[in-house]
Amino acid sequence: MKKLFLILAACSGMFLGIIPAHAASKLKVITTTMDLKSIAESIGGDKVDVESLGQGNQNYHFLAAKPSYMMKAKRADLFIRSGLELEVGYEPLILEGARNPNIQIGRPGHLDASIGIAALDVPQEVDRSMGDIHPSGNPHHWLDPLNAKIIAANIAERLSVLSPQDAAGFQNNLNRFDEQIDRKMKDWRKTLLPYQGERIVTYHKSWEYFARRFDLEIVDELEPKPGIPPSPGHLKDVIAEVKDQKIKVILQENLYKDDAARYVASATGAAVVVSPISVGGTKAVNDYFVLIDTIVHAVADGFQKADGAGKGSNT
Amino acid sequence: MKSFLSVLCILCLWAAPVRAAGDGDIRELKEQMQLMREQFDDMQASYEQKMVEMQERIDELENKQAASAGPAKDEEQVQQLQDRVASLEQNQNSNQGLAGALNRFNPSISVIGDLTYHTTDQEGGEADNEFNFREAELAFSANVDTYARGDFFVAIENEDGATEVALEEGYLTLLETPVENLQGKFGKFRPAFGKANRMHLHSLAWADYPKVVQNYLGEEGFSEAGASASYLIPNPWDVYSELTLEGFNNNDAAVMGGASGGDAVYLAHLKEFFEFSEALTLEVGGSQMYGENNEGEGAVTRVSGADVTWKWKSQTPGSSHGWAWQSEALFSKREQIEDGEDGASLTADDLDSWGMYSSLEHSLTQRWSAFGRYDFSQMPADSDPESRGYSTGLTFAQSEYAFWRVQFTHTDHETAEDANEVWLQLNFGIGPHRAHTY
Repeated sequence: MKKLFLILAACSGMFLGIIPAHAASKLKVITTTMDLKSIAESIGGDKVDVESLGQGNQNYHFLAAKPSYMMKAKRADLFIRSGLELEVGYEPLILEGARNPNIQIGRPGHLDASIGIAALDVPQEVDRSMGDIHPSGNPHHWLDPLNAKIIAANIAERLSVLSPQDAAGFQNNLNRFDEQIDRKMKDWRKTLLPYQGERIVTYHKSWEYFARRFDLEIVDELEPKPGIPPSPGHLKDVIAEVKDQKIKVILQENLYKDDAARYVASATGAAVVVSPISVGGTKAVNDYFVLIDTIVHAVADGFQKADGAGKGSNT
Repeated sequence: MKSFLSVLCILCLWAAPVRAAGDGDIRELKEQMQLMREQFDDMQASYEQKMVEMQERIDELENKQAASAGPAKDEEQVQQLQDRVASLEQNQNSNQGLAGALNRFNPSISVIGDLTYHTTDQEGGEADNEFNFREAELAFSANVDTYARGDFFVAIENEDGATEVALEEGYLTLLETPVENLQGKFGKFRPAFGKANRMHLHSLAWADYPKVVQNYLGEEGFSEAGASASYLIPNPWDVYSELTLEGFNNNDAAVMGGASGGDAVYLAHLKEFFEFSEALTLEVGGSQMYGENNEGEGAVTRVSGADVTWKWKSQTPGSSHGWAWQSEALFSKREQIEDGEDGASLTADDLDSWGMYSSLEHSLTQRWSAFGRYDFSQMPADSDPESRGYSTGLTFAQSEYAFWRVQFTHTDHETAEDANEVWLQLNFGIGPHRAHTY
C-alpha cells in the first residue's frame, strides 16, 4: 500500500513538471451558454479566449456536471453564468469540482450576467406543483436585445476589473456592440412592425422577453405547466383559444419535438414556427445578432404564411 | 325615326368634345393618382420610420425606468412596490425581518422517501412480501464558511420491522486548501471504492445494489468515519484525473473480514474521465483497500476494484435517447494466519474471492428508461458459493423528483435454490437536493 502511494505521488510529480505555462496573454473565459460566449467575444475581442460549457442545441436547464466541464472551469479566469437559476442544477458541482478559487461565487472571477436585468415572471409563491419554475424569474432574458446590452456592460465591467490595462479596449468594444444592437433593432422592429400586438402561443415559457420587446402577446403555452409535456386535455383548451382569438402563430424552440404544435396547427390553421433559441442552435446561427435575425425573420415568415394561407379566420 | 337619329347625332356631337376632353382628363387623373400613390408611399415610409423611432425612445425610457425603479411601469405597480417596502421596513423593525434574514442562512433541506414491495419465490428468502418504507433520507447541505461545505445525510430505515435512525453520512468538505487542486473531506462518508458504493439509494438505476456490493461492502454499500484527500492531477491533456486517498475506521466486518479494533483501513482510488464528444464519455476507475482482519495476528485483507462507465446521450434536439453501461469488478484477498504448534505463526492459504456486475440502461424517452443487469458474486469468507443474477427493470420518472420502478431478478445460486424476485419501487423527494455526481 505504501509503495502504491509513493508510485502515484511520483507520477503526479512527473506530470507537474511538464504542465504548460498558463497563457497569460489572454483571459480564459468560461460561459454556461453560447449566447454569453458570443457576447463575451464581442466585448473581449482578441484579449479573451472564450469557451461555452453548454451548446446551442442543448437544453441549458439540464446540463450534467461532467468532470470535463470541471477541467475547463479549472483554467478559467472568469466564469459567467446566465443567472436566474438557469444553472442551479449543475453549477455548484462544477465550481467545487474545478478547484479554482478565482471563480467561486463572490470572487471577481465569477459573474452573474443577469445583474441589472429586470426579470419577468417573478412568482409570488414558489412550489413544485407549479412545474419547473424559477424563483428569481424567467431565465431566458438574452432573447431581448436590449438585455444583451446589459449583459455586455456587465461583461465589460468584469473584464476591466480582471484586465485593467485593456479596459479602454473593452469599453470601445462595448460601444460598438451597443451601436450594432441599436442599428439592428431598427431593422428588427421594421420587420415585425406589421405584427405588433399579434397574439401567439408558445411551447415553453421561453419567449416572454422577446415577445415583450417586439410587442407580441403570448396567450398560452402548449405545456400545461413549465417543464410538463403537453397533455391531450390541455391541447384541446389551446386549440379552442387559438380558434377563438384567431391566433396565427405557434412559436417554439427547436429543442422540443414539434408534434404537439403541428397537432394544434392542423386543427386551427395556425402556422408553426420552429426556431433556434440560442447561438449554435443551428449551424447557421454563429453569433448573437444572427440568432435574433433568425428568430425575427422566422416569426415574420410565420405570420406571412398564416396570412397567405388565408386561414386567419380559424374556422 | 328621323327624330331619333337627330337626337343620336346631337348626342354624338355632344359626346365627341367630352370624349376628347375625357382622354386628357383621364391622363391627368392617372398622373395625379400616380403622384398621390408616390406621396402615400413616402408618407407610409415616413410613418414607419417615426414609429420605429418612437418605439426606440419608449424602449430607452423603459430601460432607464427599469434600471432605477425596477419593473414597475404604472401607478398601481408603484403603489404595490411602496406597500411592499413599507411591509419590509415594518418586519425589520419588529424583528420578524431579522428572523427572516437569518432564515436565509438555513441549509438546503430535502427528504427522499423510498417505498418498496419486494417478493420472492425462494423459501426462507429475505424478501418482505409486504410494503416496506425502506428508507427516508434527510439531507442537509450548506456552506460552512468561505473554505468549506457541510453535508449531513440521516437515514430513517425500517429493518425487520424496527425503525432505526442512522447517520449515513456527515462530513465537512474543505473546498480550498493550501495545496492547489487538493480538497479534503472529514467525517463519516461513503468511501471512494468503485462507483456504486458512493451512490445513494435514490440515485441508483436499480431497485437494489448489485450483489457484489451487497456481499462485500454491505446491503447498501458502507460508510465509515475517517478522512479523505482528493487531488486533481495536472496533466498536459487536461484529462480529468483524480487521485483519492482515504483512511477510515475498520469497523465493518463485511468489508474487511472482521475488525481487529482500533486499526484503520487505507484506500486509494484513481478516476479518469474522457470526453470523446458531447455525446460520448468514458469513466475508468481503479480502487485498492487494505486493512487488518480478524483471521489471525497481522492478517490483512486487500480488496481491489475496477470500474468502467460508458455514457452516450443523443445530441439531436428534442431527443432523450441515451445509454449508460456501468460495470465493476471486485477482488478480495483475505490472509489467514494460524498459530503453529511451536507458537510461531503460520500463514494459511489466502482466501481469494471476487464478484462483478455489468448494467446497461437505456433512456427511451424523457420519462421512461429500461435496464438489464448481470451479477456474479462469490462470498468474502468463502469463495465456493457462487451466485449469478439476471435483472431487468423499467422506470417511469414522473418528474425529476419522483419515479416508479418495476424490477425482476432471477438468481442462480450454486449452493441454494434458485430464486425469482419482483420489486415494485416508488422513490420521491421534497426540498432542494444537490445534484448527483455524473
